[in-house]
Amino acid sequence: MSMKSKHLKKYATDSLSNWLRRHLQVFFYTLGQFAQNSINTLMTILALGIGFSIPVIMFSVVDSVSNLGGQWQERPQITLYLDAGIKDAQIESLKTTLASDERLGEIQFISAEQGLAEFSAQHQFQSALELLDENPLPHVFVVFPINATDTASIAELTTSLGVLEAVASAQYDFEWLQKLSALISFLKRAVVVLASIIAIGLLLLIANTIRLEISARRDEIDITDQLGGSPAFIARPFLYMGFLEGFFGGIMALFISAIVLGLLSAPLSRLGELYGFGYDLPLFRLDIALLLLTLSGLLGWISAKFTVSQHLRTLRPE
Amino acid sequence: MIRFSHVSKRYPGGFDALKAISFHLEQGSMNFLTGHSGAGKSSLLKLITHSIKATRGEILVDDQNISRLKNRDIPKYRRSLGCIFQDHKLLYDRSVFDNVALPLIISGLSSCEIAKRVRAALDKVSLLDKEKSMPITLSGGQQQRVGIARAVVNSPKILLADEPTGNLDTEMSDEIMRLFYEFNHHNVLLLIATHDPRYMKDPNARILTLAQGNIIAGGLEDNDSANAPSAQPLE
Repeated sequence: MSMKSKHLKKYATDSLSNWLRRHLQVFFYTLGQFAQNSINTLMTILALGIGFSIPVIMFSVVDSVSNLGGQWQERPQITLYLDAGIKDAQIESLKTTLASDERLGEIQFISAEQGLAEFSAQHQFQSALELLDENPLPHVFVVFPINATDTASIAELTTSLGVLEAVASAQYDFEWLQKLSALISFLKRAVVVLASIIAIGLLLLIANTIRLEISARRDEIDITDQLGGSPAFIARPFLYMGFLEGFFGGIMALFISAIVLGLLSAPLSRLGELYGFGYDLPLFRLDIALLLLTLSGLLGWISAKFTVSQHLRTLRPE
Repeated sequence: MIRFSHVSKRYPGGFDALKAISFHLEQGSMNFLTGHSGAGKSSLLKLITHSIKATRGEILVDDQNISRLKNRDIPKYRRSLGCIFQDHKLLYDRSVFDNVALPLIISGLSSCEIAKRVRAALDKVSLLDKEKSMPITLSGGQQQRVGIARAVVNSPKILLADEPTGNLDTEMSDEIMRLFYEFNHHNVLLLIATHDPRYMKDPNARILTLAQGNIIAGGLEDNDSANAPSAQPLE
């Protein structure tokens, strides 16, 4: 029994190392081929990199802009400005009223002092605030409606909160919010559509390089088939080629997009400042990089698989 | 070892390359396949390697009905054969060593085992000193010997050769043929397509003669039993 399991174990490690060896052989062989045709390979990878970088750049910009608006965009919020000179007891009773209101979820109280501190933290207001003798800000309740997502019901809720005692005014800035969220969802859709079109283009580009490689190595394929190479064996170098082209194209795209985002980041943050937000555009994001490299490698592999399978069908005996 | 029973091959378009041929080649035998060009020699060899499928009839190789081979079993079957071609079919972008190693790489052997067997095969064809050369730098006869080394590196029981001496002068041809006989002594079945009459004087060899898709000598008659007739050398 132990002999048998020992044999099995040996067989398993043998076939594993066999498998590994075959793949390593092809992996290094493919890298060698790339080095041999360095100009062609570089051109292909550059073209793939440019193609992949466009959706990456667009996604990075749109994603960072949508994060800016995120605090309003995801949860509608209504701001209640309280009467000036209001007493603590009135604040407490208003808080109780708001807390018992079933239409509302979370309630945040921002005292005039907290508000002032927040403003002071944003440097562009600092000099203006220093000119004032006293705190011009009122106390504020920020409330988050639950179940009210459409503008009509939020507007109705805003009106009803505005007439509460001690509330000077209630504001819900939905027009700006609507525009922003419409713009962002349009841009997000545009990125997806554009990325899909580009992906199809790159799929064809890789397929074409594989097709060229197949015709350049037609003799080798025929001889290998004749000598008993399985379709998987014949296809393997081409699959590696497709995968590695896609993968290196992805890495190239990360470089290109970092450069382009670097060029965009200064004017974008100036634009952001004009709207009152200080923000940075990250040049490299791990999540995007990992997603890109996975997708680009997969795309290359699929493209090669499709092209090689088509060719292998012609080798079947008739 | 190789048995054809009423095998026909009709190509798309209606050309009958082989017409209901039957023959039987025994294990370890020496066999020549001859006939004018277009007589069906290449089709016959391609049927054995299963590069083409028989239209009718049954082909048994080593008791395996290869007409019924599944696509996924073809590679394994082909690895059990050794094939030699008139135009050598070497890969000119790699060394002699790598050319001979190809069947072993396909079989997934370790590089240490590959080196051992490649050198043994190159030694048999007296090209051990050329292992690092590129095939293009070798003479036609040497290239053919590389092709032979590649065919025997897997130690097949069957060796098929399609006009192996077709492009060679007499001296080189004799050298190649001497090699074939050497393999034959090691119980390898050889089937050599040739139209060089000098090699068909061997009384121990079977000579299959094809003409217009029919076997006119050396085959099995329709009424023959499973026992093959004795070899008939062609004079």
